[in-house]
Amino acid sequence: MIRKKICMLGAFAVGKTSLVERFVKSLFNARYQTSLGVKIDKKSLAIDGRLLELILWDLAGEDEFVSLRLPYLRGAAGLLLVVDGTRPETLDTALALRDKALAEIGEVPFAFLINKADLTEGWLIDPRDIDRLVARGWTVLETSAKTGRGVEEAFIALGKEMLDE
Amino acid sequence: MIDELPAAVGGALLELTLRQDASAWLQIGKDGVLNDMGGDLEHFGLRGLVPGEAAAEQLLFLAGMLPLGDTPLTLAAVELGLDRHADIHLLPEERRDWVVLIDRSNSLYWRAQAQQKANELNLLRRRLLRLESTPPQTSPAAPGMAAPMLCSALDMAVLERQTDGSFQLVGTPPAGFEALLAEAGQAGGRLYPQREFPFLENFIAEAEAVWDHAAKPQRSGPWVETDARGGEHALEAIAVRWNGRRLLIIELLGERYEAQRVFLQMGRENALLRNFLEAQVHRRTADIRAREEEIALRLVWAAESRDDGETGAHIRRIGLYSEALASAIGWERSRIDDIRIAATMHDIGKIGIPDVVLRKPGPLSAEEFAIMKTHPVIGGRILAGSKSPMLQMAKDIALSHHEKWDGSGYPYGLKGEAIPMASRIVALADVFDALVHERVYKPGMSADAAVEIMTLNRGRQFDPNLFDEFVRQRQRFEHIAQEQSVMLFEGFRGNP
Repeated sequence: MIRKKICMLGAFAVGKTSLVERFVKSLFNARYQTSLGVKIDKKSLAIDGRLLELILWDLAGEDEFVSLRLPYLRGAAGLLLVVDGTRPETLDTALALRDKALAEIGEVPFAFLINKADLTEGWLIDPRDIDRLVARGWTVLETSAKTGRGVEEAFIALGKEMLDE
Repeated sequence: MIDELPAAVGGALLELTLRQDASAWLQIGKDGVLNDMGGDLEHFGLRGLVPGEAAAEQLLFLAGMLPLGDTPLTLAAVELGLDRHADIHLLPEERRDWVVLIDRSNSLYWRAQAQQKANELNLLRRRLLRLESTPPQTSPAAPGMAAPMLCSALDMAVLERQTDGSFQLVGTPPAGFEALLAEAGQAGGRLYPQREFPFLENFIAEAEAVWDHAAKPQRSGPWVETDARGGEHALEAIAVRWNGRRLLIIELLGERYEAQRVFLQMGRENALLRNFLEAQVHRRTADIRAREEEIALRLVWAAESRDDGETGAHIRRIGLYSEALASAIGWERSRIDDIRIAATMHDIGKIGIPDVVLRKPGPLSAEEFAIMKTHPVIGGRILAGSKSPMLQMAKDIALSHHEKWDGSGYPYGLKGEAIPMASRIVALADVFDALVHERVYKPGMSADAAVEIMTLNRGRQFDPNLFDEFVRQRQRFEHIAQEQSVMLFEGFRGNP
């Protein structure tokens, strides 16, 4: 079995922990519970006949109280950069974290997850900003930890990219 | 709940609470005006409050919080200076809001004292680790008897790194570690926690530096492990080199983790609430601005439809280029929104230019050109005297968008930074758009050719620093220039 480490990165309260909970345990809790430090989960996937074990590092969200500890990224084979569609500033945080992470560990596959797709009517993120990410050839997916929409697909998409590396 | 108590008991409890912890109250109208106040305001350092004035301007902690909706709010442990901490309860009523402050300095003081004791214990532990300098006689000997016992009492397990990469327990681990260490890959009395816990596998790379180079102890930061029963444990590892021995101390954070997490959660919930309120304000402001923008664009279009050379899409694009450039140089959001609208009015003064000049198909005579050159002053006059920041900016733009950096422009020959920044932005946007688009009297040129021509005027016509930013933002400009769907306003294409 192939093992790959994925780091979940993003501003606080964008839904990183909820996405992992949804993916690993098929659970969702609407109450926001802030994470402190790191929580690691595992999940196995079969992709194109290959068995892949994902080691998911759910890192505490970045804000004025907490900043990313770069050593946590060591050995990461992929990044999921989570953005809250209802909070446009979280895209800036995700972009900054992407730059910081890739500068630390080198080029690895990554995908932007625009989370809270169940609340699209409340999205304030500018669609042109999302188009700009797509125009750069980056993977951008809409997800909802609440409904499960796009969650498994996101991990599979990143898994495929990591296997193709 | 107090209703369920006999009145005498409820009253006594209230009396005791108030005697024990100072309190104060404020009553604020739904319009944000401070109506009344009482209690021990002095105790919280709240002096000189003026009834009849806006409360949020006098009390910073209320900014953005009022008026309340239906739900009461509590801001816990707010520092009000003078070592005073208060829980601030915000209680809504139909026509007013109440703000109740209750002193929490004492409880926080005792919490700080408890933390102090824990820190002192930690220091004592470290001192013991240093003093116990006797090297180990037989294998799993402790760094000394007292230290591991103390570690155990402090919910810490001490492991010693062996030469084969495994670990050995030093002393007895605290009870809370049983479930976790059971999973830590025990083999022949040796532990391999790094195999079971990917977090430690990662941290050991940092720990090696401490062990190999006797660097100062390194903390891993907290992490959470789930045991076989699904129980979650918050842990933190500390790499220490002591007397040549490579120690890994794993600490069960327990309530300390939860206290930190709750503290962080409170801070973040407040930040989310603030963001939510800001977003609401932004959304409502955006609605108002959209209406403002549509009215402005319709009027500008009406005024400029006489000029065959101008198109509605051009007017709209000038707003979009200016928005992009203002954003690139770091203007704040409200000014960026202002320039998107204000820039569209740059040629509003052409309303005062006679048809015989404005609509003349061929080149203008010197006299006609002199008339044409009056349009900035006419535009400035039309837009002058407003209190609206957007219209003030529009006036600057209308008056100065033909000024040039080297002072050779008109109407006043302003030079360099004497020309308002908004006008310098619009001057660039106006020339770029005019060059790349076809007009009745000329074909459009490529963006490359337009930038090449404009570069000749860097530092002459255009602010050189701004021009450099324009070149950096060229792709955004090209994108706006090529956008076929640019409409003057919703439902009305600019080039009818």
